[in-house]
Amino acid sequence: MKAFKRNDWLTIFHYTGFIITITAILFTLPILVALFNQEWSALLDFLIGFSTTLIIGSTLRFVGLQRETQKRLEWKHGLVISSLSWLILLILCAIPYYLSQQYGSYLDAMFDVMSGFTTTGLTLALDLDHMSISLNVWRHMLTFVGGQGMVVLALSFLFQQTQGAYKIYVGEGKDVELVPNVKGTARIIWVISLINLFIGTTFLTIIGILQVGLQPLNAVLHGFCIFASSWSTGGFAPSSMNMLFYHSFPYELATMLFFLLGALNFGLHFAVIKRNKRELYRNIEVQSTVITVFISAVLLLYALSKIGLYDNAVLNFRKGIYHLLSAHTTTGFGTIYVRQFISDFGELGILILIIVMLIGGSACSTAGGIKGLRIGIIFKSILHEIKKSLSSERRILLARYHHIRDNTLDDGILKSSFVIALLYILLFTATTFIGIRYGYPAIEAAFEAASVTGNVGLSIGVTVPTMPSGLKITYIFAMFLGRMEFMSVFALIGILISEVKYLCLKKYSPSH
Amino acid sequence: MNFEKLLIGLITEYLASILFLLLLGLLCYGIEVLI
Repeated sequence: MKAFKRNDWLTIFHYTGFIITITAILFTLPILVALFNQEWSALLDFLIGFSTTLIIGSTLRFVGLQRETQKRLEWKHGLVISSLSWLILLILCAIPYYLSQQYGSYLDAMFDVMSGFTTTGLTLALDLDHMSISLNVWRHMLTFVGGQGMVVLALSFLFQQTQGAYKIYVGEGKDVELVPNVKGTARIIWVISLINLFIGTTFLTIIGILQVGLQPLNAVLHGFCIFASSWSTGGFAPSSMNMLFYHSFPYELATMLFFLLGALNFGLHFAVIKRNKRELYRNIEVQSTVITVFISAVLLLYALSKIGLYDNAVLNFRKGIYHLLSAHTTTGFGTIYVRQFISDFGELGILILIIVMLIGGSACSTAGGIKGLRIGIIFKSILHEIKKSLSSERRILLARYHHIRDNTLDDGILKSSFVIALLYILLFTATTFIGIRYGYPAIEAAFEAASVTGNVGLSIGVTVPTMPSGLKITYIFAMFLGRMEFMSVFALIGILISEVKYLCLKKYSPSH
Repeated sequence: MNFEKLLIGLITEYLASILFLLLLGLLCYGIEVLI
């Protein structure tokens, strides 16, 4: 039987077209920057990208236009719309990258787009230090928007509440409704992010001018780019030396502050704004993150002391704690050269970074990884089982946890937490094995695999433009799966397989 | 969204994050002294 009928596809095309058309508006910022800086070649690249995206988005919307479209949005549609939009945008947003000749192939350009969308932060640019200003703004804007979600962006532009919009929203790996409708939730996410963008860019610009010694306009550009990367836990930077370029402790401290805040759940931000400050220490996600950060910090500092290269507390903080938080929040900023991880951190240090990269930040935030909420739930259930086995058999113990409100830990929540955690570990293992098959040492393959699976962006030196194409495709897929939290990608694959099966059966059936 | 509430909420979050970083800084000093 066919999984999707003609009307289902029309609904999917309509909403996918809507998301693509809204995303086309993003091209206007780099176009304005290219005009302002008189980057004519880059301007042409962006105009080509903008018109292609607009034409394809509008065509899909037009093809899928039908009277009943808005009424028939189901879960299966929502999941497929999210992943299909991401895949089409991956190809379209790579146009200016490829035309700029900063990338060796279209695959490399798509790698960078996926890295930006998923807030990973790995790059295959050939010469980052001589990239046009407009292309740099485009890279960082994609990572900022990707952090909030391309679908979230599109939904905030809905003119009226569309029934079933929540299903597309969930498909992108977000599941918290801050207010009763998705349009309102999407808008709140954007308001919080844009206010922080203004504060953060201003703050980094001031430090850039006063402490780093940047020219005012350059400081604004760096301030915008670094804040966009920090808040979205992305990890892109305008310089190939990443954060090492600034050689500034205040600049590093500011980024730490921003990526810590960026890795928090939007539900938590909203609760604090609603004057529910107790949420900051009662939330299971905050508690689990604080515990994992402190345990891993002690272990990492011990590992660093054994190596002995960082011999004082300030160095340990700037190199050790910085990378630990950068990995845990899945940001990927670095204050050392990539090959220094092996010499400075040692195998134990690298292992700790791999574990925290897999744990990741908060659910419904800009961060990736298994997420603090799921880790908290899993540990809570283990503790509950121990408690149950120690208590008298007649007592019924109910496990509870606090996340925005008091919740009962039921089998459904526990099962989904375990399944997602298991899928992350399987993806990490498979990606590591593929890296080893391509000839990389196990520790390096594992580090890079954890980085792409958790959407982190720290690199140990595997991700370079000359790496094998097969590994580039593997990493693109791992970043995509990690960001979408599997389900919507699986839904798209399942639908495509059933469509192919249906076509094959139709072709070879005896009646034909 | 109320602007005053928003501002107080943001300041609270920033202060909490600064406190968290301070604790991690103290941990670095503590370990330097211990080891």
